[in-house]
Amino acid sequence: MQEIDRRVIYALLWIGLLLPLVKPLGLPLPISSRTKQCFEYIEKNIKQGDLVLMSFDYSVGPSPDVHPQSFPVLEHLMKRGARVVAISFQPTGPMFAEEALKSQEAKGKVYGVDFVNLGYLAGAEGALVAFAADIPKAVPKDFRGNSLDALPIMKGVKNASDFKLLFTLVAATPGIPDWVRQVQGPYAVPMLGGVGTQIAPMSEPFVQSGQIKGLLIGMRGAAEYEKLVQMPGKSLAAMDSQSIGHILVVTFILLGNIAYLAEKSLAKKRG
Amino acid sequence: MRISTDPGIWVSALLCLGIYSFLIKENPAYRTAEHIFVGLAAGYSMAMGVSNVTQKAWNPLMKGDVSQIIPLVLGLLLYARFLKDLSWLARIPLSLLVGIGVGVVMRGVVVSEFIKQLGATMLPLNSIDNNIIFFGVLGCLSYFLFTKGVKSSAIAFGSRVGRYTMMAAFGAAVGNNIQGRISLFISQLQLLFGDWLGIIK
Repeated sequence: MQEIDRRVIYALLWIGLLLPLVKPLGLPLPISSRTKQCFEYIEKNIKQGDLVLMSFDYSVGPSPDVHPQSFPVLEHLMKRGARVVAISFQPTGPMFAEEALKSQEAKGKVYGVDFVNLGYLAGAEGALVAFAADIPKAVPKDFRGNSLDALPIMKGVKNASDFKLLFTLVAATPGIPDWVRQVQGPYAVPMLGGVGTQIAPMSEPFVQSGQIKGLLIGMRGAAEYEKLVQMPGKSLAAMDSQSIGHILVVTFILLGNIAYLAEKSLAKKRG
Repeated sequence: MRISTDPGIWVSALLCLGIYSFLIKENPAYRTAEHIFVGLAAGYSMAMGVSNVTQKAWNPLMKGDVSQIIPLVLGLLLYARFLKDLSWLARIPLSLLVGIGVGVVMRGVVVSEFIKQLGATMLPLNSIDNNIIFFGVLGCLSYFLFTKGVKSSAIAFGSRVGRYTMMAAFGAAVGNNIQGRISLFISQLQLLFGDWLGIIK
């Protein structure tokens, strides 16, 4: 069994993941407590006109895992009447922010009034510190080339403490720890997070300690949020596939281990 | 089935297939897609970097803000490492970057990642979750005791608990990793069979 061509496993994964996408199985999707915490925090605390800072800190590689979270979250924030300021500390972030924000622009939200994209700020954690301390100084112009003074949404915004909520979407660095130590802690801004699945275990202790109020984890988190805001999208449609994928991987691991142990025991018997 | 007429989708789909062709074996389609990806990523990052320098340092300097000369010169000095005789100059901005970086991190790390995290482990032992967190942390800490007395039975037991706790944590990390990889693959299937070929509705 250990000599099976790896391409057989690839083919099984392709078929196993594709079939539920073509013909959904309708498996139940319970909402995790972390996603529920995010939804409930926004529902209870965000009111008409509140200013929310949303960071898009992920590159192209992990984007399929994190980017889908931005759409239902933005939808929820906008439905609550929040005004959203987007910022990125990853070079590709503004591109993703534009795509997500344009989905709201298409629904009638106005650039510069309901939302703004401040673009990318180089310098990772150092830039985060400078941005949190003095926003107009760190970002004199937005991603579309407008001066911040000309944007009604930025009127009176000086530093990070002017935001009612920070929602950071991250996949690597700057990540949850960077945002917690440079913004959430020093400026006492309530924080929610959306993370790539791989970095979820490292982000979880910050929820446990109460430093962040909720956490969306990967595509699954996006799917759960789509369900909560009743905005079914690609992530929700992918959940059957995700479950089948996990079943396949667990099966492969079990079969591999059984084969390994069986061969070991046979070799022992043979002496 | 409704095949896309969007050229952007066609390009993404063909490059995606090029990358996945590696699963069969290394081939020119894979290499082409890989090189395009690396080139685009590097080009995009460079354009963003240039735009940042222009907007934040060069333009203010042109408007008379002479203080911007300092970051510009320090930035240029980083490239001195390519000049054999002047390579030592690159150490100046590098040392500043390291010093400031460490200082900036240390500013917040003590409270957010030490005191607050310690506080989060001081829990009433009235639930299974709290017991796992409390004894798991104690166990992990005792695993990293490398001093005299480490052979005492209590420490050895704690160390064993720590080892199992860490193994469970690493297992969770691997599980999350697999979940993440499957998500990435599903999104590509959605691109190929949904956006491109129109088989997935």
